[in-house]
Amino acid sequence: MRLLTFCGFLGSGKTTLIVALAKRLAIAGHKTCFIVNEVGEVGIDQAVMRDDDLDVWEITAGCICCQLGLDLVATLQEISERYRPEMVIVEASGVATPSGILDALTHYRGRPFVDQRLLTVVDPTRLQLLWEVMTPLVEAQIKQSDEIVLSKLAVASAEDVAHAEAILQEIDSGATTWRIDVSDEGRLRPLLAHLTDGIR
Amino acid sequence: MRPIDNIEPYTLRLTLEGEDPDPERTIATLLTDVAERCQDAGGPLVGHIKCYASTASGSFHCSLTSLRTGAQCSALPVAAGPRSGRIDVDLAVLVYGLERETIDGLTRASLDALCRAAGATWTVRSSSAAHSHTDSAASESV
Repeated sequence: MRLLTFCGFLGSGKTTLIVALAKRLAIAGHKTCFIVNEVGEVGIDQAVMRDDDLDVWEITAGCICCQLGLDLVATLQEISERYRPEMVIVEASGVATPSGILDALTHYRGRPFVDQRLLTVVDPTRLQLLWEVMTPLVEAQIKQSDEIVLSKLAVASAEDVAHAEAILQEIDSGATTWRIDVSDEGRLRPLLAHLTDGIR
Repeated sequence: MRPIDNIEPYTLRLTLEGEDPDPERTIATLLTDVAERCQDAGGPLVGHIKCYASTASGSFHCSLTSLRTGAQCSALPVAAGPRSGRIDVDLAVLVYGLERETIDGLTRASLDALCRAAGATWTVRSSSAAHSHTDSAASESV
């Protein structure tokens, strides 16, 4: 079972990207389950995902990187044992730090992960502002990720993208950066191929 | 702008009722107005204001991360039939630097103004401002 965890600040495009990937995973026949974490009591993202008939578990009213870490572990264990998917995709809340999620996952005792990756989705239209006012969180989300997905390229200006890339360079996480827009199949396909490489 | 770190997530489940030929536009207006009120009240940063709306014709979602880029809504199915009546809305207002009760008041004021202008009514189904919440809810739908 492969575990992909998507982090990224509130509104960075995590749900939109996951739904786009999920549709293609379904077409390719990959059995995938989804866990969505939202800090609010009412889940919005899970409702959006269910519109596309995805198998979604929700963890609400807190964050899986801290107080709800064990809820994440319990949900993952249930999924791994009852459904035995090839892949589980976790959408972290926008305020989650990757290190907190990784700490929680040390308590996981289900089927072992064949591979475990952490991706951070970054909205180039807002990164400069967030880098100024939310520095610790943004730095943690980017620095602790295995891969970075620069989203919303269709709406971001060239200046937005240039600023975002300069900040990513400054943080220097060493992670691979993917430049994506969900409306651009040519950009989505290589990411999907990368994320599914070797499963089955 | 100085660094900020406090966020009190606010959610509201409500029903809008009245003739509405353009639910997506109504909800986009609501999200924009809530964002403007939060900003005017001193909220330094919109994290994410988003909602999921259900009508007799189908469902759509709407999202706002900044007033600069505005609210973005998915579309109801084109052949969905008459667009009037009732909209059930699940709304999340994730704004930094404002207390939940303040956001609740601003959201209610926005809904009052929207409904007054449109000749509509709104009722609360549930609100996160009505009680404090310390435990979690994990649920399944397969």
